[in-house]
Amino acid sequence: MTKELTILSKNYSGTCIRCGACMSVCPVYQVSLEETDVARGKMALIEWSQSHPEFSQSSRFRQLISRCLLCGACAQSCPNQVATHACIQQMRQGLSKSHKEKIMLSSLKTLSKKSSSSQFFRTSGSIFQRLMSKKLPETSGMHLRFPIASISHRQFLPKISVKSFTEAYSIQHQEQPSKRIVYFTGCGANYFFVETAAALVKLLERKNIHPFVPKDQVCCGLPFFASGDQTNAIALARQNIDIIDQLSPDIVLTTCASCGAHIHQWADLFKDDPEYHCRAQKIARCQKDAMMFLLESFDRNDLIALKKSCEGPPKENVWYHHPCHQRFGKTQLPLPKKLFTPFSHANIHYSDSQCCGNGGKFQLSHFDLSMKIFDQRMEAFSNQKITHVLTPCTGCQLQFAEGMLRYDMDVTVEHPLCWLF
Amino acid sequence: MNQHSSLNRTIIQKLKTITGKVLVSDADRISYAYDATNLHYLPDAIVFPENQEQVSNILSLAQEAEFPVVPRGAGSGLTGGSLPVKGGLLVVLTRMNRIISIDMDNLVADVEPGVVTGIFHKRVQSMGLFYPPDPSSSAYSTLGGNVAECAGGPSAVKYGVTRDYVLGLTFVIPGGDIVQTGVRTAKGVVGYDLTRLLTGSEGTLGIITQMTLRLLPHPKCVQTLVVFYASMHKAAENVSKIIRKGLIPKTIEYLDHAAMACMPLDFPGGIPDEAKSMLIIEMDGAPGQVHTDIQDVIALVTESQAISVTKAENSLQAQSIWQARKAISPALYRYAPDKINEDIVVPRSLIPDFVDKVDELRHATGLTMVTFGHAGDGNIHFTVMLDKNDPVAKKKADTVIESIFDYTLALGGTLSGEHGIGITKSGYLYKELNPGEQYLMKQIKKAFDPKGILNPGKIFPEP
Repeated sequence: MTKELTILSKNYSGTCIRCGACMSVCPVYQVSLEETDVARGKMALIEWSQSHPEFSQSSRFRQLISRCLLCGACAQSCPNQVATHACIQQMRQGLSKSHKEKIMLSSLKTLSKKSSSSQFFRTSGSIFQRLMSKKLPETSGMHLRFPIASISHRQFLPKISVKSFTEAYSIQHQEQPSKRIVYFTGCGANYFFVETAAALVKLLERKNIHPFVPKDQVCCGLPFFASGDQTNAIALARQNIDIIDQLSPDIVLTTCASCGAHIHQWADLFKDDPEYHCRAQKIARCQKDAMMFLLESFDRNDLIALKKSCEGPPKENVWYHHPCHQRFGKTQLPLPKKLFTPFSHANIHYSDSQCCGNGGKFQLSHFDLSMKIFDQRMEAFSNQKITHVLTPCTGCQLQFAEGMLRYDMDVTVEHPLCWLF
Repeated sequence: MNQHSSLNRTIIQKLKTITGKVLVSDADRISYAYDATNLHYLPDAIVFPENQEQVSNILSLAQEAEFPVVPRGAGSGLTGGSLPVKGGLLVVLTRMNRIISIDMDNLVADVEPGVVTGIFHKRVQSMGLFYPPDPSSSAYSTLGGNVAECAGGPSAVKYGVTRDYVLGLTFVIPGGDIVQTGVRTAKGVVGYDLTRLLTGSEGTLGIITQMTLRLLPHPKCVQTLVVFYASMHKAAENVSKIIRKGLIPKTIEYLDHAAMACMPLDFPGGIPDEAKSMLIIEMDGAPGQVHTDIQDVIALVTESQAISVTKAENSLQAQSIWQARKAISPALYRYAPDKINEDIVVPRSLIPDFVDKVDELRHATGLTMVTFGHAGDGNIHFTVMLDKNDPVAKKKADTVIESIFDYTLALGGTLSGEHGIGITKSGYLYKELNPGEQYLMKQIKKAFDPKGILNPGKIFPEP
């Protein structure tokens, strides 16, 4: 009986009925307490905009639609299964056509035409490249994170590695690896936090695993996707799919929660292209967060062997921040508590209930709001003497690094892999 | 968009001097035009007062300039209590969200109306205390809204409803006067009980700005049972059987098969194929007592042909059972685009009769009907899912609702247990309240609000 009912031919779910459940989880609403910021308010506005084109073109609409982290918490909590964040992303696509809030990247559009090579990324001329000492390729979504305008607000600017990780990495393939493992670094570990990538590679070496780290991999495209820029999001996904797919991997490792989550959105970008859709799905099935891989392949003794001083009374107070991209949607993961249990010298505080407020480009366009969300997050922090913040996401890492400076706290912010190794 | 605002520029300016920020743009008005009924009435302006003085100034201005004022908490009500049906000013109280004090010795808390119920639950629980009213929307509803609507929840069978936890109130009446009522003690009989009058008054008598709430010590132990039955009648019968045995559970929730189908697929322990109804039974109290009580309940339901009995292994499992239960109401939209939802109450022992009646109507009309709810206290959420654009279905549904209401009253029940009347039920008010009662109520409304500016158009049908 029950089964019959769940598979009714007509299903009316997917429509927002304004119940308000999203209010209890939306990080933006919880700071502003205004309905225009929460998913049901946005759904009301989107519905209104459909019948009022002048409103859908207004700067107010643009601004309201931009006030969303796309964290996916609302969709997760929605009892009626409304893909709220997808609706908001779709609205942004419409906006980006008429309002070029894009910051750069005219050359990126040629990516889909041009055969890719590392040479391509070396084209100079962009002011951002000058800013970033010509080290960050134009295709990196990180440009969206660090345009000139936002620097005045921001205290933290990551150092760009002299050599990107993929450039520096030399392949030492085994003869016949039992599993073909590809490491998709993402821009964070490739340009800013190369120590994360290095830590992963060294950890894998312990198990005699030498991953493929394709030099031609590009930005996952999430920053573009989040701003509604489908053209660039598709171009980047296409190149990544080509490069990863030709290696026929069994596993695609990621060290950034956001890149990991976005790999699962690649297939959605190719709804009209069955071939790429299919290949994207294949890659998504192989995607695995490096922390989870570690959990599966390292036992207690392996872990203890990683750290010299892992016993004795607690000396380190470590805060583990679980990124939104591992809390919601298709890439939900449990907290990797098992990885830390062997280390009694550290007190690990797990936190998996709050957003840090980064949201990629959101932090840039709504810096104050982003910091208010961070401040709420910090309330739980305040009366503990924290020495380390660990988080497996580039966005969260950047946010905490900024936050620690603002709070004048001497805390090491790093990827958990770096702490383990 | 509606240009005939009851609020002219001078009034908006004055409001700005009171609260600092007044929202008047189309976008803002659209985002404050709805509540959980999903009905749509545009306010002319929206303000967010931050203290009692601002509320008082707003109501003094409103009285003078005679514009409608509608108080709003989270906008999660199910009968339209916070909808600005006559336009005017929406007073959103979410920024008055301080938990002012929690008095452990006297077990009372002073709170502002904008405190989110779920946040308050967590706070008192962290201090070993318990605030029982727990509407399905508690994760986002506000305490002020709960008091104004006299919200209930699943534990009324043992712990009562919001009304039983409101000791005192501070509220502002039209004109701006601030009134303080009630006590901070368990007892108090000085004059008329205005605190109780305001509780459940749906924002029509005054705007609550502070509440003194009664707390209990948190029960040491809670255990949750899920019981499935092959017939709806059997499950309904078991409800009063359990209580007749002298066992007072914290909760007995009843769900029919259509409601069960709206639960997430990963429901702990799964759902047996042949199940047609289920009960969620929760016992709380001292560990030893709870243990024996639960054994007694298990024996009783097994005797009564339950097809499966599962005890939640831990609090996490219990939590996911409740999450599944709370997800039902909004998830009903998988059946049809529109919902008519009535929270009738019948005497507990007559629930089987009610359930049979629903079944009879279901077969007679072919409409999708769902019954679930707080069976322990006789409060059943009776729901018809339909497409309101289908005139045949709409007409059938209206007839069904009429007969359900008539049957409920014939059983000695009431039309609303916890959602209030608002606008969605005002048309049926006459069925339960006789003209004399209605007259008295309207006189009370006049005493508080002679000009009829506060939440107009609610409870009493427009002549």
